[in-house]
Amino acid sequence: MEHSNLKRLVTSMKQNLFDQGYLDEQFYELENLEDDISPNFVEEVVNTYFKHSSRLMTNIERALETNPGDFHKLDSYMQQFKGSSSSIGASKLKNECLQFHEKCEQENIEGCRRSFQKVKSEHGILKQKLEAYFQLLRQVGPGDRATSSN
Amino acid sequence: MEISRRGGAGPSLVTLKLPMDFPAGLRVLVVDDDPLCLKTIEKLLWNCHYDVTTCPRADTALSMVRDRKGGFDLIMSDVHMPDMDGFKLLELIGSETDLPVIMISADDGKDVVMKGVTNGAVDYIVKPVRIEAVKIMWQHVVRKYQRKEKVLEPVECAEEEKKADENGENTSLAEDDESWKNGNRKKDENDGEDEDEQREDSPPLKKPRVVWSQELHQAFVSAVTRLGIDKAVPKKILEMMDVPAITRENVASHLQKYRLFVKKNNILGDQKQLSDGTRAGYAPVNSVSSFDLQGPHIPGQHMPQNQMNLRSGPRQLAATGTTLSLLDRMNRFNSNAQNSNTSRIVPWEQSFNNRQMNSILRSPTNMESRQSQQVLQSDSNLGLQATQGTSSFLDPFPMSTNFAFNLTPSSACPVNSIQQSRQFDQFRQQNNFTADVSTRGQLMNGISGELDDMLLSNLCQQITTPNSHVGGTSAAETLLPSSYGSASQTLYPCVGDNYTNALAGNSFPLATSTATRDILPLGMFGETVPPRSEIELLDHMIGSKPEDNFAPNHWNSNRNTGIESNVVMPNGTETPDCNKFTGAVQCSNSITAESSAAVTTNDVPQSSINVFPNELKNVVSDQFLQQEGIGVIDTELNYEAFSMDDILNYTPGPLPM
Repeated sequence: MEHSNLKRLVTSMKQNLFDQGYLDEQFYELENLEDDISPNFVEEVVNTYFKHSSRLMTNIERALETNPGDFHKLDSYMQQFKGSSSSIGASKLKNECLQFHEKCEQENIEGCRRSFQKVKSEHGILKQKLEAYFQLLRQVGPGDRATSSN
Repeated sequence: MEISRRGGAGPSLVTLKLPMDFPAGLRVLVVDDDPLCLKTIEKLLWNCHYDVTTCPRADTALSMVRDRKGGFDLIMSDVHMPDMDGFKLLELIGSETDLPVIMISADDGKDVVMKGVTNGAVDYIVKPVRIEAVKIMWQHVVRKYQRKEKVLEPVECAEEEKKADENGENTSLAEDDESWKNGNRKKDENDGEDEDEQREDSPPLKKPRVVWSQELHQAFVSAVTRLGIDKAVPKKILEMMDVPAITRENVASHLQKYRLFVKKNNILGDQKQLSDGTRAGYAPVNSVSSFDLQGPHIPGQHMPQNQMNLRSGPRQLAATGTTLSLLDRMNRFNSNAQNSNTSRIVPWEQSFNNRQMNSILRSPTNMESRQSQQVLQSDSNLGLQATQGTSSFLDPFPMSTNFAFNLTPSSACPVNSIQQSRQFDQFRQQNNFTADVSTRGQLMNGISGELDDMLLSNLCQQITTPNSHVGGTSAAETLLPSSYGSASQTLYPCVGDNYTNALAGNSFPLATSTATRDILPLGMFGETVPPRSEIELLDHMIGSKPEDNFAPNHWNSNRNTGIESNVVMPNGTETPDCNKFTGAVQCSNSITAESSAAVTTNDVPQSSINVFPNELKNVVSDQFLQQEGIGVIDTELNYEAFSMDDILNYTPGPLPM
């Protein structure tokens, strides 16, 4: 019984993430890539993402501080970040990246900074939510993953 | 693989049957500093049965490409990378090889995409990369081989074509609207060339048609450039080219077409760009970007929607915009001028009852995806072709994967394993192959470089917007059977079937970052499968030798093992040789690629190699030769080349042995 409750919980958690716009269909795509050989693919990918994105954010932060005039560089970092985020389906984050990009285009350094703060914050939230999700998922067990509502 | 010829009133058509699991085994190198993207794209590619090598650094990737000539079929590269700009990598790869390169990035800015196009990328995919885009990536490789294949045009085909040409093809000039409206298949320049040739040659004599191969054409172009297009006379060009097989008349007719083409495309100013004959088709002609942008002037048609296939989604082939690199245009010109009936193209039976359509199918084209787009916009012929009952073409292209393959499972080609065939069937179904190839072929062949506004607008209307369009390339184009035939030969280092029972077709490779392994192609039952001899291969490409048992020996070798392989294609015979790559390429921060001597495949019997132009030689020799014998795939090697990240992140599953 508890197992099925867990499953339900996982399902609804995931659904929430989608409903609230944290995740988009790319996340489903990742799930589709999971198979017997890579049963934890999504989780691995997400872990990789958070490691990499933290590095990227550090780069951006440093660039904002030390070289705020180089919008091209900032934009380049942000494109990388956006690429990464979109690859796991991090929808809100991606949007924030777009905002940042626009600020770069406008060469609005203050706008960039503010936007970046939002990016950081969204990043933190997503990380928390996904960590909780995967924790639960692990409890459910690999064979019993909640089916994605594609 | 079976090859059948279809004669008849039209040009002879060669139908190639693809092996069941095409495009499995396609060797893709992915370059991206983002480990996440590397991971996901790699998984995507593996699920599509491609052989993937990943690399986080551009310089490493470049070394790999250099060290393993012929070791890859396709490259995917990120745009924004810390160590090297993706476009720079694109340029370098383009200058040293003719590998098709696809750019990937989250950046979908028009200027960035444009840069990709002008620098010679065959496609641009916006992140996140989706499976739909990856599934049909093989088309770029096929296209490339089509270009190479032109080199092999046999005289026999030329004569057939000649006959076909004389069978009442429309002789009107390209600009003749009437002929378009009449629905006569217009070969434009091809026709023109026929006419020229017939006029210039004494009528009763049928000379074998001169095939203006890539090399020939480039030699021609450089001669013309040196002389100056206005001053270039056939005699002098001939002298400069110094090619024994062509006559002054050949040159004259080609020059006439070239001049027309140049005039139409207004590329006089960029002629010097053409002197660089080294680039097969990816001339990084930055200087022509402005020119390319305007492209053939299309009054009233400002950048038809399909020009920039920019889509923020990663769907299929994203932008391949309007611009054609200069060299591509020339290639296109050249391919048009070839009058082809080049045997390679094939009529998919479904769509090709129409003789005209059939005859339109030409080999094609040195076109790359963006060329096709360009062509769509600029070539009046297209319209004609389109009206030739190519309704399937005119229909909005189904989402990328809808094109028709003549994938006749050959009973003679044993499937290596049930799993494979099932998987491939699935893959095929998913890809939903339909029969639009013809239209592409027509399109391609119809390229004359000349602009017929009416037709163009007609065509443009017909051409659907990016969404319906298959990436940079219209679906049909890539499906020319001949290309498959050749492609399959060259693409897949196939060798035998390594599938072990335990491995499902899309098992994810345990070695994520590149590993080059010693791989021995395995036959269906695990025996080593020898590579096809080069001659056989080429024969096969030419279509002169239908091969029955083609399939089993290919393509599957490394899918299951996660080993990136450059295994040579097998053929039917049993030779223990196999192209192998030893050494693990560790793509974390540095490459330690010890490519063993065996890697490059130069064991081709010299006599056969010499027959072919270098370009092809590389292809053939690199890909078809099996070198030293190699043992069974050492699956343990799967672990050798993990990058740090992979090691940290991966929990390798049970390794099927």
